[in-house]
Amino acid sequence: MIGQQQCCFVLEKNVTKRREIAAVARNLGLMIVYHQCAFTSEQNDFEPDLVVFGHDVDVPQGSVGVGSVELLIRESQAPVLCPPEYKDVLLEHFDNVQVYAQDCLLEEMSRALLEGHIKRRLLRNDLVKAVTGIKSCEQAEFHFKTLEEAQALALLLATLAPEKKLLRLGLSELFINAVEHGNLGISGGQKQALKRKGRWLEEIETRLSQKGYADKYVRLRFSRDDKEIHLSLLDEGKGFDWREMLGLTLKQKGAEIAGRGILIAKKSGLNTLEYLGSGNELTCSFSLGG
Amino acid sequence: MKYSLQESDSVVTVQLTGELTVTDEEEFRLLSQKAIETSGAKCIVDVTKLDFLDSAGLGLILVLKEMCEELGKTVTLRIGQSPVRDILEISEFDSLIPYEDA
Repeated sequence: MIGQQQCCFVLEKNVTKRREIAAVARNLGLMIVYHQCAFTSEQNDFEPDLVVFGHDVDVPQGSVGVGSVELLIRESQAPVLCPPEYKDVLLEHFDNVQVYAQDCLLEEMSRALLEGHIKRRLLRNDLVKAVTGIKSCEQAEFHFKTLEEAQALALLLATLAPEKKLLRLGLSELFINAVEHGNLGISGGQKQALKRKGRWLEEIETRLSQKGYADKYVRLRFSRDDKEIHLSLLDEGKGFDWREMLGLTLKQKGAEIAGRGILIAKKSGLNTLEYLGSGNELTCSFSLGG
Repeated sequence: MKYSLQESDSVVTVQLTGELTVTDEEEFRLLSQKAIETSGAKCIVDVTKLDFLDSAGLGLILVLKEMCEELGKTVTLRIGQSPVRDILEISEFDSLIPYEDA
């Protein structure tokens, strides 16, 4: 839909009122599509960016089937603006329902909601492109250095797995460990003390800008076969005693705030997880999802 | 992460929504400070509407628990049908903090 004119669905049976709402939408540069009712099936090739209900519309009484207009609105996740009297019934059908208490507030609210919706839609499109790209990728190499980059990469790669949420957790733990314990050399004990003082993120930011740390990257190699994704992660740190760590259980680790990440990663749906050499390199694999 | 704080009958309920991860430290610290300054003797951390959390997020909840316990307050976790139930399970979080609705 990007590249098309943004579109507003207007629902109002009173012709004069309908024109007033249309004027507001036109001021915002929107194309206007009228519907008598949001809950019937009417021919429509457009996806809404904003939906405005007037004071005179047909709303369903009791349980009814789902019409094509309602589906279009739901799928678009466009904000739905309505007067107070329709709020409750519309909330049963749509997630993003906002009330305009007075007609004079309609333009200001429409502008703000539309802006937020367009931003979210562009972000969603970017994400879909990234996910589509990674799904067709055979081999790749990524370099990252910040926590935010580590998180984003974990989120992206986890979209390939059947259990996306748990795998996102596991990969995120491994990638973040490579940044904080690997490249930035923060020990488990230091992390625990910093966390208690609420100064951990501040320390990460400080080290990321310091000489000796600022030019360090984590390298992630990605490859796939028919059934699995294989990852190889290498940081520029000194490594750690992974043999001892991998031998522990969460119960043995106890209530320590730091150091649980690897143990959680082991249970996050990875098929294999192996540290190599001094511990600054690891390989892991996970099954491809549907 | 977004949150709400509600206090009634000596119980403060901290409801978390969205994601609680490694980058939420500062905001969670402020939330924890507000929670321990309430007069309630008990704090419920409600994660029923939380979509995701990582081990750093779990760590932040444990710091809140320590802060409360230093003032003699108790802390429990309300999980209900939370989307993060499976994450709490593999993290064996029930051994670190009592659940409200176990």
